[in-house]
Amino acid sequence: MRRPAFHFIAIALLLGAIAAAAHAPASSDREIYERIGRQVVDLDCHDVHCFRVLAAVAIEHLPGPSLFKWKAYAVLGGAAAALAVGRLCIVLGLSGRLAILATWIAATGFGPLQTVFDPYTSDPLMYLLGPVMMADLLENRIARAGAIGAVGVLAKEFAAVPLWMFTLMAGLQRRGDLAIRAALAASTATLVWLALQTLLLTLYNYSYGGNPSVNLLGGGYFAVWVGAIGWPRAAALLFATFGPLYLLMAAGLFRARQPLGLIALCSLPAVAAFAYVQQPDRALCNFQFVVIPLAVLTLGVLPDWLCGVFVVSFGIANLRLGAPQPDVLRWLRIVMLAISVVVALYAVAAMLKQARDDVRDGTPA
Amino acid sequence: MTPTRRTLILYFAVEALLFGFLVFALLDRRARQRDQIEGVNQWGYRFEAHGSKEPGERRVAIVGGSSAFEGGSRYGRTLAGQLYIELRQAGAADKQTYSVVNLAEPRAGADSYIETLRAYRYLDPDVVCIFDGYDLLSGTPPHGRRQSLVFRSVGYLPVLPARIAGRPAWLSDPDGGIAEILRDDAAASADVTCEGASAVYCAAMADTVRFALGQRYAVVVVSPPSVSSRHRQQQQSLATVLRRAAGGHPRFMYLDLGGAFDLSDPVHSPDGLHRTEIGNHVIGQRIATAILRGIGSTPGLFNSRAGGS
Repeated sequence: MRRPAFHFIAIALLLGAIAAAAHAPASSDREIYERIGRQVVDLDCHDVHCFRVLAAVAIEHLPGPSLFKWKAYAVLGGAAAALAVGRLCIVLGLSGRLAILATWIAATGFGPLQTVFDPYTSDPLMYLLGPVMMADLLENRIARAGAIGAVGVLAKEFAAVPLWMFTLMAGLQRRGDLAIRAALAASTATLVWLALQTLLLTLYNYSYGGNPSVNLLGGGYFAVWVGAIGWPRAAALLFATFGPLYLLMAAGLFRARQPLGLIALCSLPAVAAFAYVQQPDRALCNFQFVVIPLAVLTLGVLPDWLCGVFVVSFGIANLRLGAPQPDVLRWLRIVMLAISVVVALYAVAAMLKQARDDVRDGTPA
Repeated sequence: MTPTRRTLILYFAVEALLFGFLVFALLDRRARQRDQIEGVNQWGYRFEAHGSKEPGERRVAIVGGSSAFEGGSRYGRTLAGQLYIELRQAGAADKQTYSVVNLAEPRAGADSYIETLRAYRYLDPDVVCIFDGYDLLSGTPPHGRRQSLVFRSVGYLPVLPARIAGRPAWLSDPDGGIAEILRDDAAASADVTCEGASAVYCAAMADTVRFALGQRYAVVVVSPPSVSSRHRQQQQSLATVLRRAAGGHPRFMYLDLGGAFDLSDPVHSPDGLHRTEIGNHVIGQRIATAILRGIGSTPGLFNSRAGGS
């Protein structure tokens, strides 16, 4: 990918402008993240967020007002994560053009724009670590990815996921030695996570505060979430997480070469597990590094200007400036979502046509 | 550098051990949670575990032996529970919050109290209430918390190893009743005062008071309802020794509840030794009043401590 610094600065400026324009959410986890950030160990903490210490401690110990620091973290984390998705595309053998497209889609996705609006979360770091670790693993840097994962789980449990995904991938590819090394890295990160949980639970009287996530036999967070908002709204929110990217990804799967298809396949157990134990729409956002490279395979058949239309409409459809959203934006988002879906459908049709033509001409897809 | 197969096996073995240890710790926590009513929390003291104080919270720590530990009693029936109820009620109007932590150990002697206060310094009590009973003058209990290596190392008191091994649990030592020298029919020594047979006990109590005051805690030493005339004599001489040890310190109080009620009255005691809920209510009320009065007469009793709330 050419000029990564340019894209980073441009994305950071864009996300920064959105962060500045967004109103603070009425309800957020701000208080708890500020507290654990300042105290590191907050005895008797009864919330699942109490266990996600790394980002909070790092940010709250920096000088400056809390909200500004967290917004800066969401902005810079989002920009870095977008670039990491672009780099992953290059590692996966995609063209520089598709990598840039992937970078901008990652920057304007539901997850990053949600965290820019409500930055008190470990998610920006997870959006960054997912593609960074997967790229390292694909380049056979198991130890480095393992080290990142082992530190990352102190921020959120998701940091162990790319390691387990890669372990499964290597196993399915029958690369025994690689699978064992990846399994060691994955189990080490998981061990660090479990040690943190155990330490805080036993010595410092932490609990998950009745969070439904830990009710594994009772439907986890998923059952409570669906029960609270109903199936139609749940389906709508799950669709909104990636929106048109689902269509592009589905079509991209047909076109994907290995290991991209295998990454998607190996992400399924983790997707199912995390959507079950966490708020499903937010949990899915962590997998943008799996979805976006597949999506750009399809979108890439369109001319640049139409790709640009997609990115802009997709970004506006994901924009959050307040809760509730300003009236104008509410309608604009629906229109933009429709436009992005139409462009996605057009891309799918174009890709299928191109694939048909390729088959007819005898050229490989 | 690619690790050899042997190295990998070693790594996995170490990880498996660590996983096992962590799972064991979590199972230990679960076992303890099932025994909340009469149990001891993970930090080795009775009832609910407390963490750092909330802003403005005032905390009382009870130190003592079997009589303050009250094994087998539900929280609300114990002295700690009754004291908490009284303080909470008194503070409700001003939105003043209180907490009470019961650090007592069954069969713990007075010479173990300083160690107890040291071990729980992190609880940051404002007031230490020393409520010494009748069963033992000195010595550490066989199943006291300090006997646990894990507790001594990290402050965590595990319950599962004893259960698995079929050993008595920590802090499960039975109440020893009334110490021989405190019985009126005792023939051992004529003098039970601090100048006589109770010299070591009184010295330990005085050391505890000096230590607690040195930590800038407010100290309330409570003489429990008298169980015999020899017990009364001992406690009266103790009062003199402690007042001398405290040297008129404004944060020291001696509360003589020897005559608070008659232990032979079944309303207050079921067996002439242990207290009923009503008995604990009377004691708790008197201690709470003394503490609250102390606050009124000694400005800064609670909040003059460096690092206090």
